This record gives sequence, C-alpha cells and structure tokens, in this order.
Amino acid sequence: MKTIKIILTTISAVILLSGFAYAQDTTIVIKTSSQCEDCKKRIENSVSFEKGVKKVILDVETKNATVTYDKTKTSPDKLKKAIAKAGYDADEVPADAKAYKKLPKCCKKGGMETSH
Amino acid sequence: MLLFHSVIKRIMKSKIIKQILLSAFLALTFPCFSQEHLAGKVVEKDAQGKESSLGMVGMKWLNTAITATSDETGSFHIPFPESMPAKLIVNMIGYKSDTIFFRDKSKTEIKITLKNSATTLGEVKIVGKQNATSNLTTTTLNTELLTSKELTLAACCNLSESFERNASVDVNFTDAVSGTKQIQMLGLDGIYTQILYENLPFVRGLASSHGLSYIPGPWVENILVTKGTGSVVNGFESITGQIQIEMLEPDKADRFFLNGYANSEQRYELNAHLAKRFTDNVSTLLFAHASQNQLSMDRNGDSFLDSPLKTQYNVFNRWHYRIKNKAEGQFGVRALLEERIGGQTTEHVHDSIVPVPYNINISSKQVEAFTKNGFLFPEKPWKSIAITTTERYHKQTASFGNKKYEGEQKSLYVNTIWADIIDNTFHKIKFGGSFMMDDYRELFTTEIPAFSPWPQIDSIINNTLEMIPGGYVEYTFNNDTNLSVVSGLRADYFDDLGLMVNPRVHLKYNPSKETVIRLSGGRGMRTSHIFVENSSVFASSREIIIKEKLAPEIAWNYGMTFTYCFKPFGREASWNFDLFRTDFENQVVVDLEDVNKVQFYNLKGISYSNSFQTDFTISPIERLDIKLAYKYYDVKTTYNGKLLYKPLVPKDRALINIDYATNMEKWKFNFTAKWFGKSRLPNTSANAIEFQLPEKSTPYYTLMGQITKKFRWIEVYLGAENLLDYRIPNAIIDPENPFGTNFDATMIWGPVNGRVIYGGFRYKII
Repeated sequence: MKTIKIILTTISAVILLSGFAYAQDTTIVIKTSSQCEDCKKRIENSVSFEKGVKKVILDVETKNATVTYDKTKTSPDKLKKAIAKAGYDADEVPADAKAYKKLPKCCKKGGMETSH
Repeated sequence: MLLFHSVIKRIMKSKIIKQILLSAFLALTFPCFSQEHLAGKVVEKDAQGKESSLGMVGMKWLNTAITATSDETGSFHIPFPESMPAKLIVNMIGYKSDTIFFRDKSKTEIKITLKNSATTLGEVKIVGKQNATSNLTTTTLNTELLTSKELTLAACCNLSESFERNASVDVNFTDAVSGTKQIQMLGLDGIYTQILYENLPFVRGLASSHGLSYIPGPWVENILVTKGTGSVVNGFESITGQIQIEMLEPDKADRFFLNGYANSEQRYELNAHLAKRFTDNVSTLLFAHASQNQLSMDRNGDSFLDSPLKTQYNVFNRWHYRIKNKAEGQFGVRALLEERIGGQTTEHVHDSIVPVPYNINISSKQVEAFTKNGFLFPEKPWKSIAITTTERYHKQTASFGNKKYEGEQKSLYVNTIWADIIDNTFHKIKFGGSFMMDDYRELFTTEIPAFSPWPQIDSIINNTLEMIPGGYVEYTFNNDTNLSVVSGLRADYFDDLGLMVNPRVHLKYNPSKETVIRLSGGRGMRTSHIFVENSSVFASSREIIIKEKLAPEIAWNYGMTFTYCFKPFGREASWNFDLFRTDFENQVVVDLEDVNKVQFYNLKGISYSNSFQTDFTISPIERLDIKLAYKYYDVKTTYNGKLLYKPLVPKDRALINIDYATNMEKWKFNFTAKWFGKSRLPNTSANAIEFQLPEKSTPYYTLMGQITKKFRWIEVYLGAENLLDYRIPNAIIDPENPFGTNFDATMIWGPVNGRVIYGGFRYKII
C-alpha cells in the first residue's frame, strides 16, 4: 500500500511539475473557416510547425483552433497568418486566396453542406 | 369478396389506420402504456430558408420501444413514454439526427426542423468509401479500422506486410524460397478471407498467392478488417473474414506524394502519386510504384537465396466525377508487372549431384479496369442505386526447378446495389444481383529431373469456365440506441452444385454505454484453384496428386465478440475478447502427411477451426498506447481419416504494441513484440534420419520497431524488422539435392529472412 502511495505521489508531482513548465505559455482561441476532419489535419499540421507552438487542437464542430504557445517566440498575429497561409480564415485574417483554391472540395466554404 | 379485399387494402394503406394499429400494438405490448401523445410536423429548410415538409422520418423515444414515422405531409403522432423526462430521437438518412429533450408531458405539439448532413448522401458510401473517422464501436459487424497513419508505423512495403502489427491477421512466409507472404485469419489460410478493394473483388483466383503484394502500402488510405462472416452484398466468398482495402481518393488526396524506401537487403522502392482536381466535380489520381530487390543473399549457406530478387512495376489511375444530386461515380485502370528470381544461383551451387541449378522464376502480369456508378434521388436521400464492374486479365507463370506452371485468368464481375428503406430509416434494405465470370486456363508440368533436355513426364491441364449469377437481399434494423441487426441472404447458381443459398446474420447490442456485444453467423463458399493457392508446395520434391474432382469449399462461421471500454485512473482503456468457430461442410484438403506427396481431395470427415483472442489496450499517459493481445487457435482437419492439427499453425501467440508520440506527433516511436508457440510439423518419419523434422516447432519471438520524425513537408523514418535476427534452423530439407526425393522448402513455421534495417522518407504537397 505504501509503495502505491509513493508511486501515486511521484506521478502526481511529475504531472504538476510538467504543468508548471507550461505555466509560462499563453493559450489563444482562433476562429477558423475549417469544414471537416481533413481541414483539422491541415490546420493543425500548419500551426504545429510554427516556432514556439506547444500545442494545437482544432475543434471541427466549433471551428475553433486552440493554440498554446510561447509568447517570447511567436504572436497571435503570426499564428493567424499561418492558418491563413494554409487556406483558411483566421479571425480577422482572410484565407490566402491561392492556398484556398487548392483545397479539396470538402474543405471549401460550404463544402460540407448541400446546395439544394 | 374482391371488393372487401380492396377496401381492406385501402384502409391498410391509410397512415392513420397504420398509426392506430401501431398504437394498439404498442398498447398491447406495453401494459403501462400512457395515453398522452405528442403530435407535430417535420420540416427541412433549404438555403433560402424556405420550409418543406419531410415524410418518412423515423423517431423514437430513447431507451424505449416507442417509435413513429412522419407521413407525406410531415405530420406525426407519437405516444409519450411512461417515465419523464425523456429524449426523442429523430432520424433520417441524409439529415443530421436530432434529439429533443422533454421535461414533462405538458408540450403536446412540436415542429422539428432537420438539417441536411452532407453533399454525399449516406448510402452512397456503397460507391464511395466509409468515413475514415467512423467510430467502429458503432458498426454492427466486428470491424477493425487500420488507417494510413497506422500503416506508416511499420515498413509496409505492401499489403501483406501491413498486418505485421495487427493482432487479428497473421502474416506468414509460405516457403523458404519464393519470398511470398500470406495472411491467415482465425488460423485458416487467407484464401478463406474475402479481400476486397472498395467493394470490388481483389485478391482471388490466380492472384491468391501473390495478390497482397500488388498494392503498395502508400496507396492505401484505410483497411477495414471484419472478423467472421462478411456482408452478403459483396458475394459469397467470405468465410473467416473480410478485408476491405480503401485506397486514396482523387478528390481528397494530397496533390503530390513521394515515398522512397531502402533496406539492408538492398530493396529499393519508390512510390509516387499525383492528384489533380479539374473542377469541384471531376478529379483524378495517378499512382506509380517501382521496386527492386537486387542483393543475392544466402546467409544460412544452403546455396539457395534467402529471398528472391524481385522487380515490380505498378501503375494505377483512378477518376472521380459527380453530377450534383444525380450521380456520382469512379472508374480506373491498373497494370502490374512482377518478376521474382530465386533458388540456387550458379555461384552458390557447390557439390550438387545435378549439373543444373534449381531455379525459381515467377512472373505475374495483371491488367484491370473498374467502374462504379451510383444514382441518387435528391428528394429521397435514403435511396440509391449503384452498379459496379471489374474486368481483369491475369497471367502467371512459375517454374520451381523441374515443375512448371502457366496460368491465365480472365474475369468479369458485375454487381448492383439498390439501397432503400422500409417505412422509416430504422429499417434499411439493400438488394441486387451479381454476375461473376472467370475463365481459367492452367497447365502444370513436371519434368524428369535428370539430364536436359528433360522429357515431360506429367502434365495437368485445367481449363474451367465459371459463370455464377446470383442475387441477395440484406435487411438492417437499427434502433439508433443500443441494438442493430443485419441479416442477409444470397443465392448463387453454380454449374455443378445448382442453386446455393447462403444466409448471414450480424447482431450488435450495447447493454451499457461501455459494453458492446456482437454475434455473427453465416455460411460462405468459394471455388478453389489449387495450383496458385498452394504454389509453395512446388518448392519441394513432393509429387502432386489430385485424387478426385474438387468441389467448391463451403463453411459455416459463428462468432461472438465482447468489448468493454473503461477508464482506470481516468485513462482510456478497452478490453476485448472474441470466440470464433469455423466448420467446413466441404474443404479442399491439402495433405502433406506423406513426405513424398502432396495430395488434394475433398474433405471426408470433419474440419474446423476454433479461435479465441483477447486484447487489452490502455493509454497510461498522453500519447502513449500499449496493446497486449493473446490468441489461441485449435485448427483440425481430417487427413485420410485421421483428425490432426493443421500443420505449421502455432496454437498460441501473443503480441505487444507500444507506441509513443511526442507533442504534436513530431517524433513517433513504435515497437512491436510477437511471440509464437509450438506448431505441429507434417510427418517426416519416412525420411532418412538426417532429413527428419521434429514433431513440433520451437517457440520463438520477434521484435520490430520504428522511429519517425515529422517535418513540415517531409517525414523520415528508420526501423528494423526481426531485430533479434531470429531465423528458423534448416529452412530447407536436403538443399544439396533439390531434384532428389527429400528436398522440401515448404516446412516454414517462422522467419527465413534475418534482421532487416530500413529507412525512408515521405514527401508531400497538400
């Protein structure tokens, strides 16, 4: 029992500490023009290779990209530009027209809805 | 009387009567039935915001059996359930399901607005593909999804290797000389598993022996592995399972992709594909593959190459089109050329008693065209009609020393699928007809292994024309909460057997949110083509004896699986176990029990396979996944009146997968360990003592691993197969005398190749 207690304490300590390591980072939520799972892949891939980005998750339902980043290395502006460069609107930054044109049909605006 | 009949008919047709009858039925079935009703209308809104009524919409109170359907005007009437609050589920194919919460019975009228769910309508999946993200705990069939992501975690040069990390499908070498790998499911050979490419027949006929190497790994988007009997829609051939291969699609694939691979056996491989989207409705995808194995390697010094020199060229072009709200379709062509050269090379022949080396030469050529067209009914989104066709030419030549084989197959396959609903979307139906034609020309010759020129001593000609028309119907019930049933029946006409009827049933039940129970049962059949299916036995001195006319193979398969998902310490975990039984009514028995012969005959007696598998998956910390699996096989066949274990199939096996990815998956580490227990070896007691094998193989284990690093546009990987360099001892019996009476390269129960280190890259423009 005692050993289990020690192990558990150690694990929680590690988790807490790793939490502290991230405490310096900032999180931002960016509204995108994402449409589907494929878009999620594209946006996450594009943002994850920006300098200073620690974590990026795009919620397909809400189209929100939640990005955790180191503010000494990047800025919300740069992150939005990265999303725009992938062909998607990011808050007030419009999608790069060239990149948007190359997106598959399902990723274009209204691509997941019917046009009856 | 006739008047009375028509009046009754008219009454029956009326929706109101139907509902009264339904209510009466419900009132009878549920004694504590409440008399209060909810009435309303179902509508849909178009882009301009105009409303139109929706008929045939199914609805149901959650966790009850109370259902209703809206009529042509969209109106419906449904009794409230006994206990409140309750949730009403509204369901219609092509529309997003809606769940409405009712606190009490005070509101008795409601308007429900449904939204269209997608451009491609639900049932059109029969021509397209299944949603890659679909959660397979929701499918009625026991299906496992392998995504392209999973396939990149091992050196998946081609399909036969893509199951190396999988617990349900086994991959084995068939012999020590041809480098052929085949799969097994439930302890039975891959021939009993139906291998389809997007619902079209793929690995069958003459392609059975090497067919899995005809699809390079990077072409694949998903693989769906169904254990147990499959759906009747795709034919009668599935017995132990169904493997559905979904390739990348023109309208979704990366615009350019290039993969290079090299390994320590000097295998070089290039895979490329190029996607072009002309308009939103027309797109194409071109795949190309070239590979070579150029290293003559004989590490065990038996004068035979450990793996043959191989060359493969493979191209595939597919097109996709869409006519808005009317039709959607695909067509494509594929061509393949493969050459394998193995056996003894002149520099390796030492003191052979014959002046000629034992050569192995296998060449395959395949050309194929397919079409898939689906017709839609925009006003009836649950309805669709699809027609699929495949035309194929396959030529296979093989020579193993003095044994020569030449085969040709021309095939045509047509299938139609009509999808509709019965009354509402809780009841779906598919039916259609199919036609299968295969024209086989086969010639097998054995030559006297003495001095050239060798006169022919024996030849077997097998020319057959199989024409099998058939029809099927498949009914799916899904109550949208915890129960679904798929029951199918198909009838096919065989020349020699007449009309064969094969029923199949699948059931899925969720007793709780965390638990899934699946049951399946059904019959499958196939015609056998012994020369290609058992081409590895050519690599032995065994005389080939076909004792009688071989009848189609028929087997029943029953299965049960149980899945439990839970969260120990807040971490996701799942536990799964399954039991499957296959019973052969007829089987083409491949009898290796006499060392000098391989005998083929129809089963006399019983033949079965019992399989048990259990696996446990947990992700103890974020991005770390661990899977443990154990499998037990009990596979027995009656060989000449004696019930014996199927040779070379280990009874027990275990597998461990450990996968870790760093934040945002920039680094990936994958590790797999496999353990194989003892298997029975065919009887070799008639051989001289030095050429006898033990009764059983020795247990062994293999390790494999891979590291992947991802950059923005490129991914590089480095890995190793068979890390411990385990090789079975004496892979070939009497390699010094390949034309002698003891020679046998087919007694393979483990790896023939040693450790292989490989590396590669994947470059893409999305």
